Amino acid sequence: MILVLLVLLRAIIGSTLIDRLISINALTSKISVIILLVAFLRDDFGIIDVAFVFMLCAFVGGLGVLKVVTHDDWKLKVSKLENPANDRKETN
Amino acid sequence: MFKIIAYICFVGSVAFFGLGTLGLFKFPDPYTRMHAVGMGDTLGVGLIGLGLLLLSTTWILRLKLIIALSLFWLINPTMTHLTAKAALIRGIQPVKNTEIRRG
Repeated sequence: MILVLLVLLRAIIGSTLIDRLISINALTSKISVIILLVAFLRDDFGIIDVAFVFMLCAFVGGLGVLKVVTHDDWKLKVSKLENPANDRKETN
Repeated sequence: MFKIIAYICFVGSVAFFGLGTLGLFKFPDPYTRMHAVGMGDTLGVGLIGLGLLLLSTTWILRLKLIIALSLFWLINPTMTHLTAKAALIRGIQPVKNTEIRRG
């Protein structure tokens, strides 16, 4: 529970958008684990299905967010990063 | 006996989740943060699933838990990979002295 709050703090103060995406991912994994533990604590094992649906919804939502925040083509342009000479040396 | 092993697994999983969160706060770069969170969450969920498998009583319950674990282990690396690729496409710079390789 405390870890969920800490990761949420990272999601709030995260300097870039990718940081927020990473912390939302960590949040969903922790929350699905908490749902599994609640299913065992209350002896109500139908709650495991809730964990399935939560994981799948988080995955599809994350895919949608990634699709929105990137450009329309998914080609890597590594030459935009620094040290392009190093890259050329590797390929030759 | 199984209960003791299961509780040890729970404590270990909480430790690994905590290490992942510590890495999320201490590392300087989105890529390294992604690495820390991916490793910590994968091992933590695996240990939680192992403990719950030891505590479970019927076979249908174990089957559901195994399906949940395999679903998580499919989803989490895929999501980490896609997030890293999106970060590269958006042009986020890695930390200094990073070797860039085409692979």
